[in-house]
Amino acid sequence: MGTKKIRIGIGEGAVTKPPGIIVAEGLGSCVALVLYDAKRMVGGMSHIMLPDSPEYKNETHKPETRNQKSNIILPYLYADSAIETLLKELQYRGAHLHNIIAKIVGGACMFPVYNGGSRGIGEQNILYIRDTLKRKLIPLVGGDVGGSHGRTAEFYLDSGRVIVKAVGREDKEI
Amino acid sequence: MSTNELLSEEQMDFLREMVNIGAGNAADAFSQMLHTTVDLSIPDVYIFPSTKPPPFLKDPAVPFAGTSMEMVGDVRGRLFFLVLDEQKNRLIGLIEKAMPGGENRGGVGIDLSVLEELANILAGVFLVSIHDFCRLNVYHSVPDLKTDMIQSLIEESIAGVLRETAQIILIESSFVIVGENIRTYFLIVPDLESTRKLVTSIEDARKEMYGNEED
Repeated sequence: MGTKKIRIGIGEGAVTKPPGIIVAEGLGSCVALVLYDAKRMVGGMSHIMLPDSPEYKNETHKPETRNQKSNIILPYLYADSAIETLLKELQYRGAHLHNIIAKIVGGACMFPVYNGGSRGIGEQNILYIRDTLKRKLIPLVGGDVGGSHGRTAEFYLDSGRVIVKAVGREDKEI
Repeated sequence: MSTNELLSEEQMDFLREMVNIGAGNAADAFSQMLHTTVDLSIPDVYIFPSTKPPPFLKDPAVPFAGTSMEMVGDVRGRLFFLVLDEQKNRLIGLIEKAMPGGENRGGVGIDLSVLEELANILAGVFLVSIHDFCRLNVYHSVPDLKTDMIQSLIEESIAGVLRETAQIILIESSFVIVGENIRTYFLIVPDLESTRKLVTSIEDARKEMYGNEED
């Protein structure tokens, strides 16, 4: 039986165990966030498009348990709700919070931003995710972010390694 | 029946007419620029919400040559002119071949900047159509060309309007040069306020041109 490959599109996420690969293709300003517990061999990835969801700031809209229906239509679309949802799903599958490490890929600025010097969405995503991980004491152990080129991230659950592919560039392991 | 949530069938027909006239003007401009006959097929026009990616985004990792421009004025947002990367050189090659003396160039003389120039002309004629029909003044920035995975090229623009659940206009058309067709995509990504302004202006212009005969 071949290794199970799960492709996640914009605003999607997946949590699985080995043998398995989770793939996020064509990342530009979006960020693929990988969370992994190497001891429990369980990991997840989300394809995040924006830093924070307006709905998520409202306490009553927070997803309380994995089975409770959330008012956030796409919990993996925004960094704030994606991190919470991934953590809940990982812990539901046996991960321990203190074992979890993070890796991030993407957050590019593909074209010049003509918005009076304010940050592009890619940079906002990276800063927000880094800050949130820091607050939650989740070590960020690897990343390939920024720049002005697209990326595809392949997360291998058996080892925790993430292979980053880009047009006209060598594959990179983080 | 309405083809999308934004425009009625009559408004879509009006938009198609605007785009058709723009495409005709673009073909004339290309023919003049290249000193040869360039045609554009009748464009297909689609509108889709920013939360639902277009059909040609089904494979997000396919490389495209994408030219991006900022849209400013009465309508704000982003414009993209997109060609499959594997067809990019064919398009440039056909242009080279079609130009007077092209067969003697030996593949030298035209570079990728011709794609920026095509994007420049297309953006210009479509924005002039918007001006002529809707009386909205819209300008675009200098084109910026990049070859990369299709989703990576356009996702920041879509992210920018995602919160507003704005609508995106896709114009699909083929360049016909020396008997060969190359499919191209032109994306208009207006912000929400501009989308509203466009819809109101399309309806006003349609009523002014045709009255309320459909009502």
